[in-house]
Amino acid sequence: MKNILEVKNLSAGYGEIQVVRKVSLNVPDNDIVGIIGPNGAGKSTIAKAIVGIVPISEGEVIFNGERINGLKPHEIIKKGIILISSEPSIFPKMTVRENLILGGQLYKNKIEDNLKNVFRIFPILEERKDQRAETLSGGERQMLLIARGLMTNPRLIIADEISAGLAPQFARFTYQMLSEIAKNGVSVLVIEQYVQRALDISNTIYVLENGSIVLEGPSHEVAKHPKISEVYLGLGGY
Amino acid sequence: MLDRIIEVFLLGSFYCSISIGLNFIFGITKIINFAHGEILMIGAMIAYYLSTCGMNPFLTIPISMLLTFALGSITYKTAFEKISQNEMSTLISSMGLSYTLMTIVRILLGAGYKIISLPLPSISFFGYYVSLTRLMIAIIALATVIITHFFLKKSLLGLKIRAVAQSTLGATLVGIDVNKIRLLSFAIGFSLTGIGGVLMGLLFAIHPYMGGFTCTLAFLIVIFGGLGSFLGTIIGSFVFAFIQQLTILILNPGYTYAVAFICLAAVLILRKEGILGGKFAL
Repeated sequence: MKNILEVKNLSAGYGEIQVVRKVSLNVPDNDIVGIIGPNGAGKSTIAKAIVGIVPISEGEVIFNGERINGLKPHEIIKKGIILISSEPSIFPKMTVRENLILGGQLYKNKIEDNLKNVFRIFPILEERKDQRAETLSGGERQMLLIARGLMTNPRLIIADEISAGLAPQFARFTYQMLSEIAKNGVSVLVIEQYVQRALDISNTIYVLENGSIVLEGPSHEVAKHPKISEVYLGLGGY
Repeated sequence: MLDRIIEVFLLGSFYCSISIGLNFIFGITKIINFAHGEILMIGAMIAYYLSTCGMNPFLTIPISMLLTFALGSITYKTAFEKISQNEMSTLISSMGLSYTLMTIVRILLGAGYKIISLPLPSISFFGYYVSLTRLMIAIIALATVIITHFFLKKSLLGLKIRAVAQSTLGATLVGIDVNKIRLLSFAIGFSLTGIGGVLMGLLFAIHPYMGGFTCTLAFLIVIFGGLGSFLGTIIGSFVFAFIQQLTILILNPGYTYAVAFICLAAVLILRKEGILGGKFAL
């Protein structure tokens, strides 16, 4: 299968601090891949480095056959990668509709069609379209972030701990949505601290510790690995 | 009493025009522009020199907007772009810009007072005479505020500007070129200040040092209404004009600024973000 994203020997960090070192991973076309690891392992740094927010000191990021290192974030987003971050990134004083319009601003002539599409996927957002984003619940905000990302017509969604802080039913719903989206030709890179969620949704898993990949393989095999079953699933999970 | 109400309207509108650019820049780029007074002064100088060529001073507004927009773009690129994330550095940089602009204008155009001559009549309003110049200034000031409001609320560029003001990360993640929007916002802020400068030049003597006190006044209004709040600037302008007129009515015209500063301190003790800061930010 062709890879939509190839990360080769990536090292990245903040200033002189290298948070991730020589990380390599692939996301095949129309597939779901997961990165798991403890807090501070560097998962979010990988995501931010891919979209150009964190500078890359070494290695390559190839998207859809094209090297995207050194491009500015808005140039990378335009190529079809979106990052749904766990950090607050909605526009709180704007309405749901305005948030979505901004998501689709790169494709001005498709805004109305894309709006119809995301309202079909998330009908609750249509009900709340004139409400300020800051008045939404945590789950609704997460839906808004996913919907806003879909407005950019992405080829790859990087979902960085999008279930963090959500009630379990909302977290399950959010991941169901990602699975549905992936079935429609969008690749997904899931970054999760809750291992079981990542294992459930992904076909391939990378385990990150202290900025390096320590384990990788198909999800069902990784799940059986003693390290995962004892250290992560034994103590963590749901 | 009616004459005082009219005065509050005229003064409040004028105050909007001299402070809106300052808050626009802060609300989006978080840069506190201490050179605000000098941009007002440059707007006034542009109006003066064009009017000496026979141009109606009100018609100099688009030219002033254009030139101050260009000045804003160049200034942001050269003095603020690299340090825009560091509040203290931008503060020092804007102070430096203030003195630099003041000195350049003094060297090039001299320190003497310049007056724009605009012989417009007064009109009668319920028995009170109102200067047509001041009425025009109020109308232009309010039109500027309304157009800016609709630009921010209804246009896609306005949405992008508000997006950058509300969440830099969010703006980056939807593919907005954040640095370009910051530059544009800085230049638009200068341009709005350029309008205020022309209006100020129609009311006061123009000289290189005229910006200092006006800058303080604009800061007072903006902090009073709430840093980063567009609506707050409008309310701050009219409340400030009201306090001034009330002081004139019941105390002494010489106390107006002292009373206004005491009121500002009182507001800040009760609400550290100003009247509307935080609630109605961009």
